[in-house]
Parts: sequence; structure tokens; C-alpha cells
Amino acid sequence: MMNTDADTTSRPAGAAPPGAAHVEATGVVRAFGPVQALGAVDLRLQAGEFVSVVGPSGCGKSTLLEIVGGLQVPDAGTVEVGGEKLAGPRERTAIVFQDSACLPWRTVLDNVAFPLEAARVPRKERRARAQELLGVVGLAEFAGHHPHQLSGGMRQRVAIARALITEPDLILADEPFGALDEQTRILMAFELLAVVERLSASVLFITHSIQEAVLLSDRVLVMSARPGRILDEIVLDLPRPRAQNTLALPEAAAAVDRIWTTLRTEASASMGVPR
Amino acid sequence: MRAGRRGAPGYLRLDRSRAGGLPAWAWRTIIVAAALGAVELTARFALDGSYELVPITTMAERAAELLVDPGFLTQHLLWSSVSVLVSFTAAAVIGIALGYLMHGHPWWNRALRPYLSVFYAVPIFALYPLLVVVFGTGLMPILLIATAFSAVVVTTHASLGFASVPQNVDKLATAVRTSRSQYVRLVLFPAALPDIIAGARLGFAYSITAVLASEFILSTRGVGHFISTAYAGFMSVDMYAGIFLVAAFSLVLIAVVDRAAAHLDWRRR
Repeated sequence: MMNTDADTTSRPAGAAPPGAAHVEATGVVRAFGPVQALGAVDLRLQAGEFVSVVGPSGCGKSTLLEIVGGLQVPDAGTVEVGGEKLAGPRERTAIVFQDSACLPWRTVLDNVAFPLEAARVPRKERRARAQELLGVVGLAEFAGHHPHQLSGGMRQRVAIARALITEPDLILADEPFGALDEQTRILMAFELLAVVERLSASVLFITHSIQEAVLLSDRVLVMSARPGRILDEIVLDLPRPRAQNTLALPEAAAAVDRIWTTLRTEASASMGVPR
Repeated sequence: MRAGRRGAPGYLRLDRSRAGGLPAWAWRTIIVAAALGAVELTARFALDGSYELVPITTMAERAAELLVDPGFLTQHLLWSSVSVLVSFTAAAVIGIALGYLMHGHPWWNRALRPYLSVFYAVPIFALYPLLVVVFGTGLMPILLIATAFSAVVVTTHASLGFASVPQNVDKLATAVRTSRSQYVRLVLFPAALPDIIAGARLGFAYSITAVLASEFILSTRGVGHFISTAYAGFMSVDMYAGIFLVAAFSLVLIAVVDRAAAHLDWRRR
């Protein structure tokens, strides 16, 4: 049973203890034909840590996420998750995509239950867990609907519920709120934050929004233009729980400014604008 | 009110099935009744009993007589029905299998795609006499022509359907570690199903067309042969009764297939 109550100290069985390296990528390189997507990237994610990655378009953020998710194999370098060398997708890694990736022929309930169906969990059990998670994301009454009957924000909540159903210890989110309007985006971000704090899961969060990265994260990594490398690392010692006014704190404003200063040069380079 | 309905989100489940205050089935009935009425009146009063067109009521009357005529039923209707059923089933199986091969193996796609693109430009019925020389005037040449004619449209639609799985859904399936058989059963076939159904519906219509057209050319049995003989012998009532029966059966069968398919086709929900 997923730990969805307010106890933030308990951890799912098998999860790495707080502070331990949960994800460790060393010298990761990836090219697509003649295009070098990722330079040598080193990435370390501690257990329970929320790390955002920002960078200019096409800098290899999604490629990095897919490598950590086991969806792509790096040309060079190694990735370890939970102390084991990564050899493909893990059972307890969940990925949230930008467009929700709902299966349109399935009901909302069956979409959420999909990962458990793949894991051959009995139908009754997986549907009960899916229904419970729909309650957590506020979609219990839409269980029998199909994705086309939902708004973009509701579909993204389905994607989050689906990601949580396997009780992941690592959540990889690839611009999950990129297609949403500003207000839904903020509400969804806090919703995600609340749920991952309850689960004590580690999160690697790809975003284009500097404010979103600062608002949610323990650390922000800034990537260079292609080939992507980590240029800067900003540790955010901001109080939790986070709220919209967190961004008004001087430390948060300084972090936003620092990220933008680094990013502006790289974004200009990726667009071919002189630095 | 209208603008509000058009812009309303799907989860409000507004009734969009009416136009002009009438449901779709009522409009369908009105249009068919008007067309049949026009034929009836033209045949009765404008052409006045000529060979060119007989009234709908006369066609229906003769069609009803044919339906209780054991000779017509066994020699023609059953023969054509079996031909359509067998050729359509073979076309569906071959078409879906080829579509799957084309999706899964780029070599098959590259090899078959040009032939599929030009297939309907080839006068395939011109091959029918050749097939008769090889296989005789039995069922085989008709089945070969009809299967080939309808398998292509099923193949084309099936390969498009298999290729329609969104990239992120593919990635999701990989991320949740579906096995190959789970991927085919839970993702690939459901995603392709609306296109497969669309191809199968067209394939069914093409099977009927191909069987009847083949029987027209050089056959000794079947409804196509019956219509062709009636046409050659100036038996207009028999000819139109045959056409009436074919049209009625085709419409009913395709409506039944359509209704069954609507439950499976998630794009129509």
C-alpha cells in the first residue's frame, strides 16, 4: 500500500536512506549521428532530493532524463541507480512526460493502472490502487471517463497518478507542466511536490521555467547549449513547505537571477545570437 | 447557445446527435425515402414502363420472389455470399499480417509500399480471364481476385494504424517494462484498431464489389452472373431486383459491421 498519509519520515521499503547517492551518472555522453547531444555529464541525485535541470532548447535535458530512466543507452559513461548499474528501465523509476502520454482507448482508471498491468498485478488489486490514487489527485469521480473527456491539467494529474502507482523511489519528470496554463501549472507543481514529499521519492525535474525550478527544488542544475554539460549548480536552502511567496524571498530572487544570467548566454548561443 | 455547445469540453457530455431538431437516423431515413420515392415516381410517370428503369415497388416485389426461389438462393445468393465471406476473411487476415510486418520490419515496408501505392491503378479485373484459364470457372479465380482487391486496403490501413502509436506512449510502454506480447496486446493493437476497422469496412465493400464484378465477367453462378444474364436478355425487372437485393444486403451487412465496430473504435467515442 502506498504511503500517502502525512508522515514524511517513513520511507518505502528498499528506498535509499536520505543523503545517500540515489542516482550517480558519471561521464555520460550521447550522440545522434553527427549531432553531439550530451557532452560528458556528471549527475548526482541524493535520496529524497528534488533536483531540477534547466537549459536552452535542444541542450540534451530530455536525453539525460531518458538515459537515467533506462530508455536510452549512453555512448560513454555509467549510470547507477540505487547502488546498481542501470541496465534498462527500473521497476521503481516512474516517468512523467510533457503530454501526459495517456492511452486514449483506456479509461482514466485503466490508464492509472497500466504500469501494474504490465507488472502482472491482479486486476482487482491494481484497480483498487488506481482508484485510491485518483482520489489523491482529485479525479476519483472521473475514473470511468476517457482522456479526451478531460482537460489538459486533468490528464496531467492522471499521468502523475500513473507514475505514483508503482510506489517509485525515483520520479523523472520531463517538462510535465510545459503545456499547461500558468495557474494550472502552479497548482499542479504544488500538488506534485506534496505527493513526492509524502513518498520521499527522489525527483529529477526537467523544466524551461526558472521560477518553477527554484520554487520546487533542493538543487538546480544549469546546462549549456548543445552539447549539453552541467555549467552551474545552485543549492537552494529555502524553507519547506514551499508556497508561491517563496519566490519573493531574497535567496530565491538571487537564485533566479543567477540561473538567468548563466542561461541567457547559453540560450543566445543556441539561437545563434552573439553573446 | 450554439457557440457554447461547440466550445464545451467533452466531459460535459452535451447532446450533439441532433440537427434541425431531428436525430441522425431520422435524417438518414428521410434522405433514403426521398431517393427511393424519386425513382418510383420517375419510373412510373416519367418513363412509363420502359426497360430503362422499373419502379422500386416492382423491384422489391421481384426481389421478394427471388428470396423464396430455391434455385436463386443456392445457385446465386449463397454462392456469392460464400465468396464474399471467404475472400473478406482471407483479406482481413492477410492485410493485418502484412500491415504488422510492414510496421515491424522496415525492409517489408520499403518492399511493399510502392506496390500498395499503385495497386488500385492496375486493372486487376483484366487478369480474371487469365485466372479462369488457370483455375477454371469455379470459386478459386473469384476468391483470388476479391481477396487481392480487398487485402490491399486492409494492409494500407493496418500499417498506418500500427505506425500511429504516439512516441511518448511507446516510451511509456518501455518505461513500465511491457513484454513484447503485452506491448502488442495493450498498446499496438488498441492504437491501430480504429484504422484496422476502417480498412476492414472498406475491404468488406471491396470484396462485395470484386465478387460481383468477377461474376459479371465470366462466371456461371452468383448474383453478379444473374444480373449480367438478366441485362443481356432485356429482363429489366430481374436485373433491377438483383441490384436491389445486392444493395439491400450490402447496406444491412455494412450497417451491422459499422454498429459492431463502433463499440471497438475508441476514436468515435
